[in-house]
Amino acid sequence: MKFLIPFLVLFSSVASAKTLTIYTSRKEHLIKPILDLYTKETGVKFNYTTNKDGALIQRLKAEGSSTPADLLFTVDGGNLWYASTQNILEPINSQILDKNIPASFKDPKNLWFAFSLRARTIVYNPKTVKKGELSTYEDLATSKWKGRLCLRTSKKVYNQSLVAELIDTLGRKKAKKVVAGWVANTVDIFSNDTSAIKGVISGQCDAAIVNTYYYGRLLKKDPSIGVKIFWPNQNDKLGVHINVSGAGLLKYSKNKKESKKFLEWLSGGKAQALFASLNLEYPANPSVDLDPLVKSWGTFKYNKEFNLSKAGMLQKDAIKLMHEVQYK
Amino acid sequence: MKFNTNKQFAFQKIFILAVCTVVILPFLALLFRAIFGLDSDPSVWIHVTRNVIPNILSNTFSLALYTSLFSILMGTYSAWLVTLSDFKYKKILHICSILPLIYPLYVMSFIYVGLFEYSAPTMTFFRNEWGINLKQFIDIKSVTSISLIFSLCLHPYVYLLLKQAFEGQGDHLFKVSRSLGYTKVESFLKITLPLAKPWIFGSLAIILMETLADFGGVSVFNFDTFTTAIYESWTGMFSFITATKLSAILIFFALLVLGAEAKLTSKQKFFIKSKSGFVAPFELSQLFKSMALIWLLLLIVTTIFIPSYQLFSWCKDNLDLQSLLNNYPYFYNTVRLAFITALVTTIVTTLLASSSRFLKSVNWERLTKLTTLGYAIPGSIIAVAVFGLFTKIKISLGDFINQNSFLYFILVVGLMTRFLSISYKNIFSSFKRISPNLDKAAALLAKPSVIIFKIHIPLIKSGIISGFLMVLIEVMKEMPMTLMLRPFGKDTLSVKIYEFTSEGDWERAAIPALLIVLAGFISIVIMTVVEKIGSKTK
Repeated sequence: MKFLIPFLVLFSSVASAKTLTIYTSRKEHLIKPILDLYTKETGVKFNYTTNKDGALIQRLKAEGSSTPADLLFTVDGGNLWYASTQNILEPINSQILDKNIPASFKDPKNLWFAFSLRARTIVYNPKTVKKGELSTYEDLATSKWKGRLCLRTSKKVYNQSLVAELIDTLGRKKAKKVVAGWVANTVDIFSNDTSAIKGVISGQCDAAIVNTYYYGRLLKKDPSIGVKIFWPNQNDKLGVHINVSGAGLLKYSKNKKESKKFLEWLSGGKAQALFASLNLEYPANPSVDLDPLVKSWGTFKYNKEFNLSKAGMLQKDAIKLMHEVQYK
Repeated sequence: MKFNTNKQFAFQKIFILAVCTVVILPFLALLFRAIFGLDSDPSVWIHVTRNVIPNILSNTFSLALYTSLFSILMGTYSAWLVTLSDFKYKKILHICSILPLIYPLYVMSFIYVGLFEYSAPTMTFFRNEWGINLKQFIDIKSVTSISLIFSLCLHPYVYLLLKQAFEGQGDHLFKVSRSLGYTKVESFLKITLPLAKPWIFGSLAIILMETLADFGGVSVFNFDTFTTAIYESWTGMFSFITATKLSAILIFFALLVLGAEAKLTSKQKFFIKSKSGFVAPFELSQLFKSMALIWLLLLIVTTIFIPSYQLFSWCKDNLDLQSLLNNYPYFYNTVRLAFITALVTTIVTTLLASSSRFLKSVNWERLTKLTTLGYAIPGSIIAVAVFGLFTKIKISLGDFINQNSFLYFILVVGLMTRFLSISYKNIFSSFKRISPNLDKAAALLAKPSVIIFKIHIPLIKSGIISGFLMVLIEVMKEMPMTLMLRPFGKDTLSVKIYEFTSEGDWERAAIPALLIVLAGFISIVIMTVVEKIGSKTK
């Protein structure tokens, strides 16, 4: 009977008022400080569970109207798009959100909004890469990069979204040639961005395609790593590939008004600055100041017409393409 | 199919059927979906059969083959040294041979990748100081390296079961065969080893299933197997049906393993009539002594020295009282979940084992065996299956159950489904050692319930305890299912490790990893102490 005790304890603890429940693939340490701040300001409390996006969405589908969750936070546009197709999200009509979040960083039907942006760009070793040698993502596929490139696995959604944008902008045939070129030039494929950057630091390769905040974290720990950041495709339509971390209101939420209020708050200045700086990301609200370290990397151009829903739609094709060229 | 259908032992039959239903039903629901489920985009499955399956088939096959080969070699050698030779450091070897159980595959994997990657400090040192690029000699992401690392973690299963087998045989048969003119080596190869076959196949089944179901380990190496493909088609290509189809193939493999194991071990029945004093019969020559010593040192270096060095060097900057205190709630959640699950699993398995013993029917035994299927299925798939099914039941009942209690309940059920096999191996093999004559005699005097509590349980006590502790350790290490089904605020250490390692943040992952290892270590210590007391009282 001893095992019943925790259940009884739980029964009593859950019934407090004004609690929002969040399913999130954003890691606890990257979301908790924000939630704590909101609780401090408004008294609204949070329940949250972290997991991978696919599992969370599957869980929401299985729970249907019985779900305890109010909000879904994910870390990739593709996942947000997929959630928007699964009939689990509800559109939010909010002037505040519309004002704070640019159109390319929200769902066309207001089913989700981005709250931070992540740039997937190139980092390089200035000792081995000559000035002017770097130009575009496509250029990394040319033979001069043979044996000089580090990549993260194709299983990571960040690469899937990047390839999806390549497919959208360049067309499938050209995109396939580019990705095949990367694979041919790669010395090692890593399970995470941090290892890929360490590959560049240690001289295993000269350049890698990574999200900036991984670079930022390493830089914060050791400012002398000697690796630099480069913004590719600044003179063409593509620009730097941007991904988002965002959220949507769940159709079966029992606290819709409170949830909407929270998201509106999250799009405002104070929350945005904290949300982005926790992980050295870029705020989705363009009027908010950047973290000093992030600011020091300079500005860049990206394709404002490319809505991340498209990356989601093309994600499946991107994975197929990567399988076809043996990108592990 | 001939079942023992007379009305006797009705409780036992109902119990077996009930457990089978709870354990098998989610899989049946899953298989049903795999076969009849409508896929919104059938092109994904076609793509996967053409471009993915050939590769993952060969990868999964070679990984399973190498890992079982290495594990059997390592485990048998240690078991032989500890039970049948006069090796001087038996006690240390014994501890070193079970200690690796405390490492989750994904932790051992990220430790070794962290150590042998090009950018790792050691590798850099070799390059800069001596100009040696070790990467040319050690490719940590090759199938051989992965299998070796997996075997380091998994060979204790072989060791434990084989040690049990060798010890249980006693040495009277060995002595007989020696007196009939066999040499020691011949006796070992022709008598001892063949008699240990059920234990060898039993442990082989564990290794195979563990390898088939692993996701965390292989993804650290970026090595594609069925589990990574299941995950990718589910979360990347958004085709849950393709994922269930791939899982169905995996379930089929698991059934093959179980079937083969049942076939290979069914005809062998044996029990110990008397516990003869066991004298180690092999005197090691100088050469063999040094070999044994090298093996022991290798084990110490690879499973104690390297992992602890690596974990400590990762967390040396942030290992303080505060960070340990911060991790305490996760530690507590982990241990509590493991304790509850191990308790439930052990009770269920003990009742299963004794029920199937009363029924004395091959078919009932096969049915019981089916309950161990979950071991070969990736945790995330079991989680989805169990969650889907029980949520439907919960909603149809009127949805009055508290969500957190509900999740805790299905998490325990899911974990039990996954690890029933572990306690099954321990408890069933202990049962096999009780002579049926004892049951026959007891049956004349007492009811089945009395036989269970007064005769069976006392006789297999040590099997029950070691089964309990092994499930405890397994649950503490489990990641995907706990990740998916844990209630709010019940994060465990493995959940934390997932959060950090998926971002490549080894430094932060090292503290929870260290704590899991520590909790596992304590369990192992308890296990050896209990064993010692057990053997003394005998």
